[in-house]
Amino acid sequence: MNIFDGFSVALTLANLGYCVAGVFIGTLVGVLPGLGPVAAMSILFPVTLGISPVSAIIMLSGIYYGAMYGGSTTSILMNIPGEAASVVTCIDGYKMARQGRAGVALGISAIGSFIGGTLAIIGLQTAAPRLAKVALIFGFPEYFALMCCGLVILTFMAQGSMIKALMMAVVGIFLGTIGTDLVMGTPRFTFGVVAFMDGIGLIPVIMGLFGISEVLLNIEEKGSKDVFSGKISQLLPNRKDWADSIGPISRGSVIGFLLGLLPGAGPVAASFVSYSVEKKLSKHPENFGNGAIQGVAGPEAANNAAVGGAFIPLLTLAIPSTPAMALLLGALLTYGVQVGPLLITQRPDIFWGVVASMYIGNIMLLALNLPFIGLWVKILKIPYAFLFPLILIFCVIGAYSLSNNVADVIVMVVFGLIGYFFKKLKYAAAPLIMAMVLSPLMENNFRQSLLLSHGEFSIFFTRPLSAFLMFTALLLLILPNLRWVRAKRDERIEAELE
Amino acid sequence: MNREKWGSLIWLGAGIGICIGTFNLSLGTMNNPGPGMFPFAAGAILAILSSILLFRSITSKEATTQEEPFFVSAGGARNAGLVLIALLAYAFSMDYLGFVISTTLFLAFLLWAVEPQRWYIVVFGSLFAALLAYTVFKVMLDTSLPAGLFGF
Repeated sequence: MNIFDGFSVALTLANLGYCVAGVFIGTLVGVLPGLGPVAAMSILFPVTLGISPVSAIIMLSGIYYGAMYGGSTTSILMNIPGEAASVVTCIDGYKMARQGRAGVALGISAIGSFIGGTLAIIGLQTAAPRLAKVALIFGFPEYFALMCCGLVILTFMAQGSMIKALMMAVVGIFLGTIGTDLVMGTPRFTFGVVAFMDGIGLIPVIMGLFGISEVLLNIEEKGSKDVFSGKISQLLPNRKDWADSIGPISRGSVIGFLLGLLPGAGPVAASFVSYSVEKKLSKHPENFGNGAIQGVAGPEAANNAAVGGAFIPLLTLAIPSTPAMALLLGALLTYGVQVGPLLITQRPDIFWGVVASMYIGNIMLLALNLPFIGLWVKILKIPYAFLFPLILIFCVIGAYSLSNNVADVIVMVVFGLIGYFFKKLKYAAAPLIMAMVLSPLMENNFRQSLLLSHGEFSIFFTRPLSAFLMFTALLLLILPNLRWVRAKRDERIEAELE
Repeated sequence: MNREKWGSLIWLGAGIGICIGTFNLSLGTMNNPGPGMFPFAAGAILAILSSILLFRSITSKEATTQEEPFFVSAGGARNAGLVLIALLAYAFSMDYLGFVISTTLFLAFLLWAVEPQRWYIVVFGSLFAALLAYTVFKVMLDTSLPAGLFGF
């Protein structure tokens, strides 16, 4: 099967419909501050249980990359990022809008997103099958080492304290062990609650940490929203804008794609790195922060390219690099799809179908974004007092319909409160989610490795590939404690926060 | 005591609690790891990491500096608390009252208490939104929603 067969899957009427629905909902949640793509994907997950895995993944991924497009609209018009990957777009995008160039800023961000997204899909289509072939040599120890290494990279890349990020990863691993042990059938930490016998659901936890907690924070920090009121004209960039943007878009695409591969980096880091690279390369760095088009074009291409990159570790190694990818992994496992290096050969319809749908989705987004700007602006004007009850209702419906159980709703609310405190105390939720989804896979590979080695823990350090991964993980654990590395890292974090 | 210390103490307690909780599960041997081994390792690592964080927060100079207030404002904290209580009440009542009634009451409460609206918006807005959500999710998308004693 190849990309052309992928198009035959993606172009069926049903899948085309799911793709349109996905990118439309994605753009909508991207536009709306306070509802991110991860929360939206988890709310809609129960709806996908009745459809084929291909259609479900097409729609869920559409929401994710659609949100990257939509997020920039809020950044440019309101100076409020619709979602985290559009934070940098605020800096120059909003300034451009104030200078009467809102149309061009929106135009270049859509075009940059399209180019970045499309180039990344080409990268995904080319690299993933090759990587999957390499990954076939992975045994249990290599997988365990890879997951350890992935989690350590994730905590290394996390904003703020690495110890806190590691703690969150460990909590996630623990949460993933709750429920019936698959080998012996022993219930673990279920406290006699029947609903916990199958484990704590990933989706209610995600909705709580990313949906409910965000609502709680937003209603606490009521702020007035200053929506752009001027007329938006001339969406297409002129020749000079093109000349200024093409370099940042190309570099942003490469940066985004490569960073998308790394656990924890994802679209957010990609947009920040692209912005600082463009600022460093520019002959007029003083223009950055004052409406430089490069500061919109580069990061927007980067955050979309990162989404394409993030699919590679997910579809070839079953390693999610962002919470959204963790959710997709959880979804694939729920649909009963064997995720890993064999996915591309065993379920080519999913791999090639999703890749092809991403090409289609990107074109749809370009068509959807620019002509509908007026509609998005209108949606932005909905007062939060009406919006947040609806977000809560969607979350409750999403959680309840997973298994017709109020227990899932209560888990979601409890994790909403936990997420609220996490944000106040500066604990990142992403490592928890990724560790939670990886935990059962990690435990299985760990136990199988020890069975294989007759109890010799050294198996993780004697096989070359797993030794390399384990030592990389150890190195990354030690590195932040070296003084000069810590100083550099703190500098980076400060720059990102500024 | 500052927040960092409180936070690390709670996590330390959680780590120790997890380790104790695995005592009635078999840890197994290295040859044949039992169901308790993985959660025990997670609990132990959590306890170690939180001890490091606790130690750092005690020895750090920043510990004595002024922290920004935990809640943005008293009114804001009240609103967040109200939403949370409403959500729990909604969750516990939905199996008895059914989706439409519990959702209407939940929405009406939020529109009345959190950011107060005019009475007709509270009454009709919440009823309309609940019926719309029921139509979209139950009738159109066939999502399972709590039926309650009245069947809707």
